[in-house]
Amino acid sequence: MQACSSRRKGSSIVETLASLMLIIAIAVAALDLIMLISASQINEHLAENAARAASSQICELDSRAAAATSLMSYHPSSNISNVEMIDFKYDPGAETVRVVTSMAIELPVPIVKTKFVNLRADAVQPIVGIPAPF
Amino acid sequence: MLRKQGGSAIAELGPALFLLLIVGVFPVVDAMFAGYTYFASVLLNNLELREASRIPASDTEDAMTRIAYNWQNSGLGRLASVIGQPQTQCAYNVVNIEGAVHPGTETYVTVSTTVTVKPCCPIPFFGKIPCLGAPVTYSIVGKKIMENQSLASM
Repeated sequence: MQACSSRRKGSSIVETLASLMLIIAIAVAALDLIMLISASQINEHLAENAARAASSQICELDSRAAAATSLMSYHPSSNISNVEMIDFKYDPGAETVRVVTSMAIELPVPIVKTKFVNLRADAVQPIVGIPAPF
Repeated sequence: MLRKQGGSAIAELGPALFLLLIVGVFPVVDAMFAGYTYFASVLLNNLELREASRIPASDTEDAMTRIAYNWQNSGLGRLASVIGQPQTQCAYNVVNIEGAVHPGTETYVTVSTTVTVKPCCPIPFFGKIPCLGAPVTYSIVGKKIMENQSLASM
């Protein structure tokens, strides 16, 4: 009878530990997910701002410089290590400018040896800086 | 023997229910509500930022008050039980474009929105912990390029 009771106690501890491990894993995954979503939003916002800055210039060189200046105005935080412009397309024919940014994120808790994640954001804006012909 | 076991189960139900509600259910409901109010505040900041980037600087105060009023009377703002009025501040900064052939500037507007909200289910034992027993203050800051640079000085 005593052996049966101790077995029951042991099993409840094992169950508690198992469920705790599951809860901790879910909490860690949620933390990483929040970080990823938050950084993704920032990246989208930066790409939009860079494309908007680029769209109000009158030539490709100025446009590229404006986009780069816009990105430089962002100061990376501890988890966001790097933000850079990986693609830029100034297309006067289509009257659009396209900016692609990349953001490197360090996950708060690495998942399966994945410590860094790269996020991409793409933004297209109509060119509004070229004066209309009279 | 059977009678004792049955009684103990009922006697344990009270404390177990108390612990489940105070430590489990109410904090989770409060945490979910805190997430909801945070994103409702982010939405308010986005609305204000979008407006501030396209109107003259002299009009921002009226516009921000109007947007905050509309937000508070809409579904999202109403559900987030805000204490007082959301506070908004706008600032403009001019940045020189580096490496440009034709020297120019970019003007940015920064809108910071501060919202204080009550917890959904205030828990008496956590009276001093924000979002569980005490009100929580969110300060959201957004930055956007001005649609028309000259509006920043008007």
